[in-house]
Amino acid sequence: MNVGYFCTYIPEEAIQACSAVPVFLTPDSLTITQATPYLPTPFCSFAKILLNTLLAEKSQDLDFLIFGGGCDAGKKLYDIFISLQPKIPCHYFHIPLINNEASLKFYHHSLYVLVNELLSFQGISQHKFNENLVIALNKSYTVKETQTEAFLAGKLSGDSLLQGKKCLHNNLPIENPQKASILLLASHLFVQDIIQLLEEKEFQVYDGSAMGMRRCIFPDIEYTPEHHAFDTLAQWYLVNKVPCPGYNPQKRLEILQIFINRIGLRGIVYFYPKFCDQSLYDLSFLKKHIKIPILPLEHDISYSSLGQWETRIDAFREILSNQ
Amino acid sequence: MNLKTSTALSLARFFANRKSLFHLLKFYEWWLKRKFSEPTLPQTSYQLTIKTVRELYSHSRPVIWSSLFFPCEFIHAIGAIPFYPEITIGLVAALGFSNIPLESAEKNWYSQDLCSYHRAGVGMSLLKLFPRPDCLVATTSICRGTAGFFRSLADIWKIPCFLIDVPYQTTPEANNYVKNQLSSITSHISSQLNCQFRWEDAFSLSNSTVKTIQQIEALRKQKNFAIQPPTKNLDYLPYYFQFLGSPVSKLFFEKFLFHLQKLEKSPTKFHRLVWLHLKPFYPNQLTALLNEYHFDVVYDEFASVFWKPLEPEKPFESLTNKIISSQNLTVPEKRIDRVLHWCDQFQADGVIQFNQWGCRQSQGMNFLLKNTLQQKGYPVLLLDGDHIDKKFYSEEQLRTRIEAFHEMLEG
Repeated sequence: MNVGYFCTYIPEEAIQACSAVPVFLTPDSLTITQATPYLPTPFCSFAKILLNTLLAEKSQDLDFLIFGGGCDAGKKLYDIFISLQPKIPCHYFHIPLINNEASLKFYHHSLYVLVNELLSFQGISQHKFNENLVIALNKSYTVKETQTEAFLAGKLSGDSLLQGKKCLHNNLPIENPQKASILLLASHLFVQDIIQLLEEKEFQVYDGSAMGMRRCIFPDIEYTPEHHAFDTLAQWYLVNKVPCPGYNPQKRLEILQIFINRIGLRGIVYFYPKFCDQSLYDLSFLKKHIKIPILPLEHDISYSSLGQWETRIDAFREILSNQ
Repeated sequence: MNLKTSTALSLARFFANRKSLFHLLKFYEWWLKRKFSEPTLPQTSYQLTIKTVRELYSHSRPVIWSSLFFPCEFIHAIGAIPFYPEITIGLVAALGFSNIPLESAEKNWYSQDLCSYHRAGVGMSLLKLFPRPDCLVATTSICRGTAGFFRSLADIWKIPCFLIDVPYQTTPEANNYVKNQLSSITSHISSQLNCQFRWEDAFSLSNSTVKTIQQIEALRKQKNFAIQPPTKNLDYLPYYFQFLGSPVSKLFFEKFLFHLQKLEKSPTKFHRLVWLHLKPFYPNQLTALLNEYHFDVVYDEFASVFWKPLEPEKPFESLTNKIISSQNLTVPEKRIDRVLHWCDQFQADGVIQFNQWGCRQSQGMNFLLKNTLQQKGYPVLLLDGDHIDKKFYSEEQLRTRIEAFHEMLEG
């Protein structure tokens, strides 16, 4: 069974333990033709592309869909999709916006509900699920810990996280002192392309996108097998994971600042989708509190601004080299 | 910003931060009371506004800022003064000054694509023109942008923000989750302000005010009755939100009911509309156009009562219910059911929603809303624009759309 999900706060370990294949939903193309009648102009580009992808073809390969998050675009995407495609079972998974004992408890409960739904769909026993989950957690912990350690030490630059390089210490990209190290903050769209563009412009890029750091990096992650597995997952995803824009801004800032200081980053390229409220608030917050230069680059659903991006990236490079 | 505006802003900021000056307004209030011993509805509203301005800026009691759908009975119960920035921004826009805070926010990297109620609220805070808050309370029940807005306010004012995270789906666990957050916030605020919550008065005033609001609703159901001018009721939002649970709101609605009972019935040739979301608050031609094309607004979504009566013996359950019930305005099946109910009850001929450029939650369900209502035989007009930022306003476009809608209804 293929289970599609699109939010980095949804634990793939729980899906794997249901003997299902987690499919992190990423759009294949930038087409929105099929989604256009259903969503308004000033609306999240990612939601439009994803709806188009799901309506067009991708949902045919998926047996179950999990819509996660807490943003308004995510909620409306779920509402529209279930009204248009009632045949595919869908689940809305609430991601708490606050970080305290009550939110961890609620996340635990939400996970319980989701897993029960998946288990009844799959027809596998709770016992089998528990066994699978222990294996998934053990494996995932090792991967997350080593990957986080390597990334925070500056050893996984470029598209390493996208390519799924699990801390291959012998094959790490060679640091080039001539290149200015920068952090790319981005959503799910254009990540590979923008990394490539920045590398062509002689930047050493660290991937802080939803596909990279926000999905794979879990600072201070711990694992105690004796604890309840859902508590462990709640802790990992709500507390340890690098927060996405709009979730725990203070902690996000702290992690970014530690990373900036440790690596000696010289700037941030903030590549954000138009109409994403989370990114827009995050940008104004980081602009105020982070002391290194930030280049905001807005994108819609096309490469039409590519020329403008290039010009601004060149100007940003000059600013950094004059510092 | 030119020199004149800059000087005016400096003066406004100077006065806004002089608490003692605002105490002097008491004399003006006393004079108003003497001059208008039996005030009309607008005079009552004006007097209440002056009193509120004095209380807020003289900081006579702790000031708590709140998001629109955080129940104000909570704030009245602790004896603090509620301040709803999203409502007050409407007043700033009506006075024609919203461009100043909007510009200030944009200069500080708050994008034009964010909700303008929030952007202007940030701008007024950056300019230090709003009354200084002691703490902030907010709920995400209606829109997620509220969290970003209130966290920005907390960062600007350097004060705590108590945010209630509301799950999208209503379940017993979601209820408990909200109730626990509310209970925890109550303890924090009680110890921060060193005050006790007294639910009895606030809840009782709120419940009795709601009964008066329901009497007004009953009047509006009559075929030949409508509040004039159309959309005027949305100017009274402070009484539906900020003052609910205080004597101010009760007094206002009693006056309003009395005023409406004396009104002459309007001609029946007008088309009756249910109005969704809010409206542009800056000076504009919307009301004139609605009058010109013979439209009456018979019900307004944001002035609806969406919660059950509050029970003082179960304060957290009651307030949780009120918070969660506000999702009736954002969860499509709940919202659409309610709109259909109003269309039926208020004998409406159609529905208008004035879209807010930065409001994802309402615009995101436009397709479902329009589709369902039209299937049920209610024409829907979705007007594009912005309620606070005049940059997105086009009078010609507004006229064309309203004219076309009128033709459709006539047809």
